[in-house]
Amino acid sequence: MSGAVHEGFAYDAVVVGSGAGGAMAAYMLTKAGHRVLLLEAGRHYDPVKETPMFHTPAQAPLRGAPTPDKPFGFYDATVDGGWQVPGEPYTVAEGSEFIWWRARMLGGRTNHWGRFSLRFSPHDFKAASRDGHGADWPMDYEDLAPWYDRTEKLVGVCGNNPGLDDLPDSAPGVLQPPPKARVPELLLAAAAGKLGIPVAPMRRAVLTRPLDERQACFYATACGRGCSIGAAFQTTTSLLPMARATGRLHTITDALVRSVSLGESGRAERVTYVDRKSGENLVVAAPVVVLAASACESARILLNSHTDKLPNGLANSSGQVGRNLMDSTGANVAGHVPALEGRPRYNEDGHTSNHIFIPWWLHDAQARGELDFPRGYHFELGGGFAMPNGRQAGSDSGYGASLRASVHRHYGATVGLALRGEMLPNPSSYMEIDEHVRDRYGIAVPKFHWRWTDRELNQVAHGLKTGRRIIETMGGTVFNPNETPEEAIKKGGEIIHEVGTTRMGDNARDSVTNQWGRTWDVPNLYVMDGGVFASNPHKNCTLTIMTLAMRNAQRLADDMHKGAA
Amino acid sequence: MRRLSRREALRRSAHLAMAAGLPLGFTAATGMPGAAWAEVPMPPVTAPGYGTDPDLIHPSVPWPNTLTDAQRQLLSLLADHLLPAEGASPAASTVGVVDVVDEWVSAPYPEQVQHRQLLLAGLVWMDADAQARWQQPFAALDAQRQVQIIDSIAWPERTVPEALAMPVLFFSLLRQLVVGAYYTSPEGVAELGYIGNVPITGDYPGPTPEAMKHLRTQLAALGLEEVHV
Repeated sequence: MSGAVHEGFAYDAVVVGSGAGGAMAAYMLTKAGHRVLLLEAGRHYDPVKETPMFHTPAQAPLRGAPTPDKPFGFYDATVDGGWQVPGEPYTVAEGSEFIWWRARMLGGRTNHWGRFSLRFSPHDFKAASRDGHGADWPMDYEDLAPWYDRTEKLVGVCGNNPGLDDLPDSAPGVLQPPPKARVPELLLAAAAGKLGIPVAPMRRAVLTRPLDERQACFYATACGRGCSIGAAFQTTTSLLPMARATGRLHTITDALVRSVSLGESGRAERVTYVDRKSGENLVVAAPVVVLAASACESARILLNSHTDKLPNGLANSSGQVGRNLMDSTGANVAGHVPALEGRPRYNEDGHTSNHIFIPWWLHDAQARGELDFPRGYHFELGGGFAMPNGRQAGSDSGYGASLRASVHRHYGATVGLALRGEMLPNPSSYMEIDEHVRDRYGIAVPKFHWRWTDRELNQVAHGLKTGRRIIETMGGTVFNPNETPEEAIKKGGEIIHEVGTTRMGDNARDSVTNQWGRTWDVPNLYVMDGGVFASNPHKNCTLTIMTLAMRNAQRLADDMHKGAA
Repeated sequence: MRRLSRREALRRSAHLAMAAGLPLGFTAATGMPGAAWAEVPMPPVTAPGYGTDPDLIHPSVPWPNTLTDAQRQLLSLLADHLLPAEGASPAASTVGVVDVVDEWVSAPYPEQVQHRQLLLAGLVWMDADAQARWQQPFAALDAQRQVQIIDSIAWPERTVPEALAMPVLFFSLLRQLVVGAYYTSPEGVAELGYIGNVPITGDYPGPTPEAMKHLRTQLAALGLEEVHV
């Protein structure tokens, strides 16, 4: 026991953040017998009581349409956040475009995420050695594979093992059965097939079989609202209650961490946070600190922990904190498909997101130098008889009987392919602290710098061309056939996959942590969120955040038992 | 609902103006005198939004509806031109569409405030155009004359005189709002045949045999082979 006590709760470690990384770290540490003080910047949140299951657009203000208060629509789970958090601004450098999604709630962004859970492949860990771009990871796929299995089993991921090189097999018995593909997906799959492009069941953190206290999906009501039955994974129905059940977790909500301070020995000793309700600054002792506040929040804490001795911030002798900021590339291709008009109705909700997707299929072509961009992408496939949402008019014109007929013709006959691709780090994409702007608590805010390079734009160009060919092969009409990659690519931050700001590596000169998430500079300070990513493969980051946090928190738990943390 | 940004509105009206080249105040279709578009002065919307942490289980609208009875009556009439009763489907005005539009244009958010300007100016224009052509408000016209005005602004893909650029934008916005409201009402959802949002016990059943038969017919027509995933 470390001797640290908060309101009668003696603890061994402070974990900052209750999202994917923080909740997993808290779960692993408490399960291993350690006592954890968890600091969450947002309010308490209970999906069982607060999720608007089955609510319809007709029940919501503005039919549920997005507003600045709720940018993903009224029913989106996000509390006190979105692209702006009231009273907590950020700035963006002139000439840059970057947007930053935050939530201020227990469980963070896991309450609304897409649940896509694609493990990285062997290609992804040593890509820099292969093509010279960015940085290698300080471990191999084989090191992480058993941890992916354990994470997928614990989280509950549906999918299968189709044996594709971009989609490594999970161990037998790990994945839950995927749901059946639906008609628009089968048509997309057939068109892709004609072009030699494979499809596979999407792997999603959605239960198709019950798991511990959580129920299997009942195939209704969108996952982005959160899931009161626990079928769609979020830490508030899984890792956090499981950690709490050990009796070794104590959570403080509305606790926005502003800095970590070192003692004489060079070890982290104190964490200072603002109680968002009172505005008061409070300090807790810190035997071990795990930062998992999200890539940019954790980097902000480190940079804001600067002292006279450490003017560049804490754990930043490499100068890499805030650097290497990456998101995924994003772009959409959509079109109208006459073959899907007037088809027989059935319940096409499924698990409310894509059941199948197109994994990256051109590793070989890339290796042969046939592509003008270095890294891959995948397509998430959309379309179907979705719950009407207020956008039924589309681009229809006219009125009366012809308008009604047109609405019917379009319903269920639109398909979309959402590209998600790998971005490489570049020197113009990073975050720093804007000393001129403070949030309502007086904490200096992040300032973002952003630029896409030709590597990303050429990749998007390839994706647009491919997506259009797929829609045309279905006999469809593409909505924006002349959109350029520059027009189509989403803004920096918009895909909400920001990573890399505290990257891991195999030496202290050009990375912030070692492969175990332990900062090179401060022995009892760890980072366990997306900040540690050495690169940002196109396979949505959350599963790998959780996998790294599981592996590295287990290591930390072992070290703590040995007194070596 | 689909956004019609100010930039898009300006782009479209500029495009339409270039394509037209007719003097203001005349309609291409009839050569008859029509009304000029006029902005409607409006006090700022000061009502609160629902905030960043609204009660999702018991949703409520914190801002009041603001349209006048006369505006609502004209909206109701136009909504029923857009989606009249047809077969078993009710007319738009009977499923709460006017309330939804009123709520929409009374909201304090930037997009809705923009829509408010376009919509209220459009309602004024409808009556002004009716007055200019036939010296009567729109509602007093017979159905044929009402349709004549609507026809002049209902087809954004057609070339219209510059004077009608803004009325066309107005009517496109109205169409978006009315259609969106109608097909999210229980009656509209039923008409489209959406049958989800109900819990399913056991595995997701996937497409019905009829749906698969239809798909296979389409695949054959397109020369595509079914892929088994």
